[in-house]
Amino acid sequence: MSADLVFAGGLEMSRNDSVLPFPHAAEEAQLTEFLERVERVLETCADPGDWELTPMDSLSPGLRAYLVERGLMTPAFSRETDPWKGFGLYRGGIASLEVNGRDHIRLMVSRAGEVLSGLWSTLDELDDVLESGLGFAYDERWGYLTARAEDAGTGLRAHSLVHLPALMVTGQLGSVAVKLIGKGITLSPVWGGAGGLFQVSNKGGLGRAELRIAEKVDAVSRQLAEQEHAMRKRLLEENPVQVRDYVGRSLGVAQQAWSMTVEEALGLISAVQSGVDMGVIALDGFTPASAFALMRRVQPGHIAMEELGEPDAEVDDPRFDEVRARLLRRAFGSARTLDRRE
Amino acid sequence: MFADGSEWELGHDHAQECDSCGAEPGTIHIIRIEDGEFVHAHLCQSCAEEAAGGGADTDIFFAVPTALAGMLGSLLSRPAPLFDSRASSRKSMCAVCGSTLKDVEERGMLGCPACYQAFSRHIEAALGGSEAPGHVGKQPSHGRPALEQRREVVRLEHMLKELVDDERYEEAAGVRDRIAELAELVAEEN
Ligand SMILES: [Zn+2]
Ligand SMILES: [Zn+2]
Ligand SMILES: [Zn+2]
Repeated sequence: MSADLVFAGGLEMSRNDSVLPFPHAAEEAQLTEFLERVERVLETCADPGDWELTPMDSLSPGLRAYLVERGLMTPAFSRETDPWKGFGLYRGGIASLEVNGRDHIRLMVSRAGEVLSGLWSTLDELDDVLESGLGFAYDERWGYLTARAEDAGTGLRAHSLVHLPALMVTGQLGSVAVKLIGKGITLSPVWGGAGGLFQVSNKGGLGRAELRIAEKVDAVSRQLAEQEHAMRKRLLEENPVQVRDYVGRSLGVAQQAWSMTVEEALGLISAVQSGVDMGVIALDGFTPASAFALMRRVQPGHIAMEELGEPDAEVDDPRFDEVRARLLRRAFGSARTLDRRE
Repeated sequence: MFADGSEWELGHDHAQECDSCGAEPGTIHIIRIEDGEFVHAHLCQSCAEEAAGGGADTDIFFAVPTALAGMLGSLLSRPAPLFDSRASSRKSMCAVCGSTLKDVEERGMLGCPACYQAFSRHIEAALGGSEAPGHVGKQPSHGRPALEQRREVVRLEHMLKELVDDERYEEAAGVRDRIAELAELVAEEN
């Protein structure tokens, strides 16, 4: 139940060729050759058609943004345009692959509303396929070797996205974050904290096996979600007028505005979701999962690809703000604030 | 959107001394809100905990660890480990990719897998000394054929680049031939 505020999660695994210099230190020719090797391995070792591998110079800006928003591409990699960097998609998005980014290989899976430990077997199997054809840098002491020493070991990064607006506005998260760092877990705001979204992730790849890392991030995320629920309850009990006023005003804007930025939209969706959760707003079928889906749909990449169908649209196109406002008007059209006595 | 979290790479990975006690390395970036402005500080774990627990917790906006890569570099400015002198440790170099410890410090990244052997003591110290945990978890299940030959190819490729940069073309041609021979050998074995 309380895990419903854990919106999404993913696993990323970094691997490197056993001999070649890491991408930042390698020659173009070495990287081009490595990309070709990956292509051959995907063709011969995986089932035909499972993987689509594309050089980064052929992806449109809208598609890049969309892939980042879906957790299929890392933000840093999405800015790359060199032809020797490649992006692979597995069965339409079950998993994805970055070739010649910070490390030679970064394999990723990500899902909305699923526990991380459940994603491990998918990642593990795909890694086996790649490893059988490529051979990865590995050392008894340091595990899988990576460009940054801090990632060595499992090479695994587990991350989940948690909706914590009440803990954020009450100033609880700074101290929580400091305590978590001591336990090898990082809590950081996503989109500068807009909409109260935070990412929980592990730090460092040594001393803990993959499944344990995933379970740890799962457990911390669930705990935070529980604390968030408790804080929402307390906020409403202690400050009913302010909470109702804030949530009600947000709903009013969401239902009536004709143009809005991503940050504003995320804040409004977040407020309405909290309102529904606290029983202050009635909106049939609006679950935390629908709030997350809407938070994705208002992002620039999603608007370019799904609403406008224009992969080359510039992200500062003024139509984006209009489309975004329309999405909120539609989603919240039938919502209403509930009176205290209802 | 949420993969990687690199939106929070703060542009200065190199760890520095704790802004509060000045004794320990500042391993945590703290962003506070003071008079409505974001203020950025680097604290060690214990000073950060004190700041967070001291009733002033409402003003910490967020806290993220500084990259360990920076700590790897900053080892050079701390007392040299074991009997290694600072000068000689700066000169130590990876025989495969040619990276020096200075390169590693500047880039915050190692040059190639063999760097882990070349700079093992530094990495060990950066990751927490001899009591640092070792690798636990998945291991490769397949052999890695022709590892030595491939390593030699990479070493020669690095040498080739330097020879060409120095316009020593005759020597470069010899190295190029040797690379071609080895590449053929590797291809056969695979
Ligand atoms: Zn300190
Ligand atoms: Zn900082
Ligand atoms: Zn090296």
